[in-house]
Amino acid sequence: MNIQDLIERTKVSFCQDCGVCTGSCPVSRVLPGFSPQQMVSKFILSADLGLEDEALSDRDMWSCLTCALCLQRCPSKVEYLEFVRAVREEAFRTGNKATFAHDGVIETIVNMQRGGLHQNKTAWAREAGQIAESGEYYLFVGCLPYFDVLFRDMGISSLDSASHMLKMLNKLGIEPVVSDEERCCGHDMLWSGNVDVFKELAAFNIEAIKRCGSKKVIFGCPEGYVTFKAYYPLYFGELDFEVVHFYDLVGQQIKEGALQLGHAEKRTVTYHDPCRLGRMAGIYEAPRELIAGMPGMKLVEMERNRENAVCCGVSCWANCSSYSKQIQMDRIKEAEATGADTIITACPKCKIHFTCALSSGDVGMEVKDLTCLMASAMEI
Amino acid sequence: MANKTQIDHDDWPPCRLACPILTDAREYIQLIAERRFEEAFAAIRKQNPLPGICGRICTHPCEVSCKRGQVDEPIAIATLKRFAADGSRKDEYEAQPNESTGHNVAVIGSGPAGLSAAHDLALLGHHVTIFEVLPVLGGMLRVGVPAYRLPKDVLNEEIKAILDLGIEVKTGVRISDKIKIADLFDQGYKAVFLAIGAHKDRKLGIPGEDEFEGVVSAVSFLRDVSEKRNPKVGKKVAVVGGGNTAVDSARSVLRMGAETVHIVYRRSKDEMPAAQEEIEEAIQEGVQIAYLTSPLEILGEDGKVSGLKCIKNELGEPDASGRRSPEPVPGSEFTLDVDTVIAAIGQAPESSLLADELDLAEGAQRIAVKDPDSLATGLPGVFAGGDAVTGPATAVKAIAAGKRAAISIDHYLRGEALPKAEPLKEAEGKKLATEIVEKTRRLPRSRVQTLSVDSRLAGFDEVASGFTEDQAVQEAQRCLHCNLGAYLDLERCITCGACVEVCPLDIPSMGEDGKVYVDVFKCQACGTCAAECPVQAVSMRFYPPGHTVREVEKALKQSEISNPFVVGLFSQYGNFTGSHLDTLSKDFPQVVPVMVFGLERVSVSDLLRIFELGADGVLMAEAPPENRRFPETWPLVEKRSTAAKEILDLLGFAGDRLILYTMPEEGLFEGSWLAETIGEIKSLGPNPLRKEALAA
Repeated sequence: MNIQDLIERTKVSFCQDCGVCTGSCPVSRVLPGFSPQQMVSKFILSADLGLEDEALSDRDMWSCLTCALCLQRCPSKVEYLEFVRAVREEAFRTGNKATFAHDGVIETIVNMQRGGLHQNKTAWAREAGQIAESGEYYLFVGCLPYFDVLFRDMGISSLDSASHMLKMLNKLGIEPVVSDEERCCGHDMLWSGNVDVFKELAAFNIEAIKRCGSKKVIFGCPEGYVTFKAYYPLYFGELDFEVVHFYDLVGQQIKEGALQLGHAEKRTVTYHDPCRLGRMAGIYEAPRELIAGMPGMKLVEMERNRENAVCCGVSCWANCSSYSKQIQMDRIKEAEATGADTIITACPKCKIHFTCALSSGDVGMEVKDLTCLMASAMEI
Repeated sequence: MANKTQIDHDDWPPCRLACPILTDAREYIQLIAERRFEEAFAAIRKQNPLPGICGRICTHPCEVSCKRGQVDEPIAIATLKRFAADGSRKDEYEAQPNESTGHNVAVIGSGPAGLSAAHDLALLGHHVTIFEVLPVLGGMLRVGVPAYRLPKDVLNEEIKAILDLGIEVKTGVRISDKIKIADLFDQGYKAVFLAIGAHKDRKLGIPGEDEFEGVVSAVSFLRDVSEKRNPKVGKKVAVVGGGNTAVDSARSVLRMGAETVHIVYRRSKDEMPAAQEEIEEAIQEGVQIAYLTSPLEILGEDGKVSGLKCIKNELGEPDASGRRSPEPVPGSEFTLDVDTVIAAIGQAPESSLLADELDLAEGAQRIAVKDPDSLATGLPGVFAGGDAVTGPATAVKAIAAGKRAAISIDHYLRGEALPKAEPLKEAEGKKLATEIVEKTRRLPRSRVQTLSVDSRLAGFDEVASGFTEDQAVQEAQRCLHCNLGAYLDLERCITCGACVEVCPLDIPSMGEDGKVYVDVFKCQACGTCAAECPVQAVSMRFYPPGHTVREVEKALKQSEISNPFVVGLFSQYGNFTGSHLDTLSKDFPQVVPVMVFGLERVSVSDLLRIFELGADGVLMAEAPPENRRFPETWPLVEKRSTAAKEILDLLGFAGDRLILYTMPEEGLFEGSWLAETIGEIKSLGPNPLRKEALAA
């Protein structure tokens, strides 16, 4: 892939230098010299001058959150998201890699899922409810069992939301497949330029689902959802199964009365739209309807909500730094300003990142996962 | 968003700043601690051509400034240098001289200044000829320092290694006698380095000095001793002076059969300039020291010395040298019953013949240098350094002069401007906070063996032995790793406070401004915070990020991979010897040992990566509690091991492949435990990634 082709394919030369992207970008607000428009100009110029190698060794490209705020507002419809993804792929090939937080432990865990090992990560499911070896429904769990170990000290039990999803599915009479054979969805690999590993993992997942004969694969994690729905088909063609978000499924069931959110809990809450669920997947209202359905919950919106929501500050664990912290605190203060005492998240990573930011500050807000709140409301 | 880079000098430790030749002692001490003895020697030798000598006779200002000295005793930096230089480690070392430049340089004098200049010039590609007035090489190293401090074979080996660079030698030639400096240029030499030292004793200046037999100059006495000319000495000897030459003379004279030896020194014990160790050894051997005593007159009978009339002193106001002047106490005269008087009150260069070509200073004796940075004299192409310029000083200062002269001469020969010395940060002499000193485990300094007094006085055998391997390793591990500690990149820091929580010395603090502050001066680079920081904002210069895994990769490349293969992360601070390690490698070839300076610097990520590299099992071997440097980090080590085991279980690797244990009081493991453990790991089958990992 050469840079010139990439520039043409993603229409970055349509950039009018209007600056809307820069004005929107949360990173550009805190990291001097960073902006989507700068990135674009740098590559156009480098292609003209034959300096592609220099451009590809740029470290700032890893600070982009791929939150798609710029993409959404660009009047020229520059396909910035795809541009960044593809540039990173090329950069990765030249040896320019992101710096991953936590000493790259998550990257290592994902890398170890290549090859022929058989994981042992579903014990939580057997404890929480009923699962099947094969069947129509498949619950995709992804990295939650690993996050559970790594972020326990922060008071986060990442597997709770998975347990709750399972219980709710069981209540609906669904015994989904929960498989030891599934790998990480590959989202981080895809977005950090490691497309070969992404394809390996994706191939494993597609095969695992196929062997279980499942036709409806349910996701609680926005990244897993978007990766399967929008990106797997790009590399593997149309998928043999439907990709379903848990909130769509359960929202429908609640409307039909199959599940009741009966138990009241008084909270003033604000809802944070995850980038992958909101702008990337277009799911804004389903979570809000679920919140509205919970008695005692008062939802107050942040000023920047839905398609204007601001990212939780870190993407793919890459380049986490004081800039990320500033973005997080900014968003948290925005949440505080609504008068809410709780930030509701719908993404395991948003939950981790906000919890981390709050742990060293003195803002007294709680971060709660929507699925866990629903489970309380259902008293399961 | 790059990590902060530090200016060069900022991380230089106090030992390096105190050394006249800026030896990176911290570097070679670390290599010795890791049992990388050949590398330690190479690190020393590429910068100091006389390590075995310095390791024995250096005044080691590095040890005086060593921060460890504020806790218990300074690191035995000199003896560790001797350890690295002794033995067969140097056989592997090869110097890499530059291409020949075609220039001839004359070095006058083969003492430490001359030898060092010749060595460095030869490495730079110049052709060097050493002119030496004596029939033997080494200057004061040979004819001044007695063999019981510096054996001749050590000296010979080091000189030979230098000459092997292709340096020519002309002995028995006094420049400025038949051959003038100008003649040297006529003969084709393009530059001259005068390093003639200070070999002329000052006279006592008291009556009787020239009248009687038995009055000897210390320098000529020591020279005769070294040349085995068996100078005649009496039975009752007085040595006048307080420097190393006086002590060397006194101790030598004892070995030559003197029965009583007095050192007569005009000031008190505290002002005596000789090395403390030398003075103590002398007293042990039976030398008596008369402090605050000045000689007045040498008495004689039948043309021979019969006594030394002395007077006691009091210390008055400080003189030009800053030391309090001795003032004679009237009425305190007394006579020492002696038959020999050795004058050791200072030396000057034998420079009188040079006076017609060069400027001399200090009462027309020392060679004047116009520019102390480049060591250039008033004559173009003529440089001078060492005792000839400064008066008697130390060997390492002479080496420093020789090295500087080599750089200057090299610049001069290439037609470049002569270098200016870079101003260096002064060794700060800061004090360690009391809390840090209290929390630092006391560790006794390794002690060398010395000959019994009887054995010593029977001849000139070397008095002190060096360190054994295990002693050297233990001693090197006492190092506090000054300035190699935690550097916090504030751009990366997310102020989570993890480092503040986990530091065993309570060094990081959260300021009022919400920023984290780390005082590197206090840090001993244990690595706990770096392994704990979620965004890798803390970097250690000692064991930089990823070091442990890189060491494992290196070890794997160098070993035969057997089945099963187990990586053993052994804490260096365990109580084990070289022979325990030999036994391990012989009896347990399945274990690839990787030494780690404390398990607290190993992160969960490191542990998983070792499995990613294909290990079937990993042992984390912690030191027994009494040896642990920072025992309070143990719960963290346990927590990380538990987390890694859980993750390995989830991955289907079996967490039982990772084993955390404490080494016994002595040795690497207890009895049959290791054999059983390897068996258990084997029964878990090979690492599921093995085929790919090893193919990669």
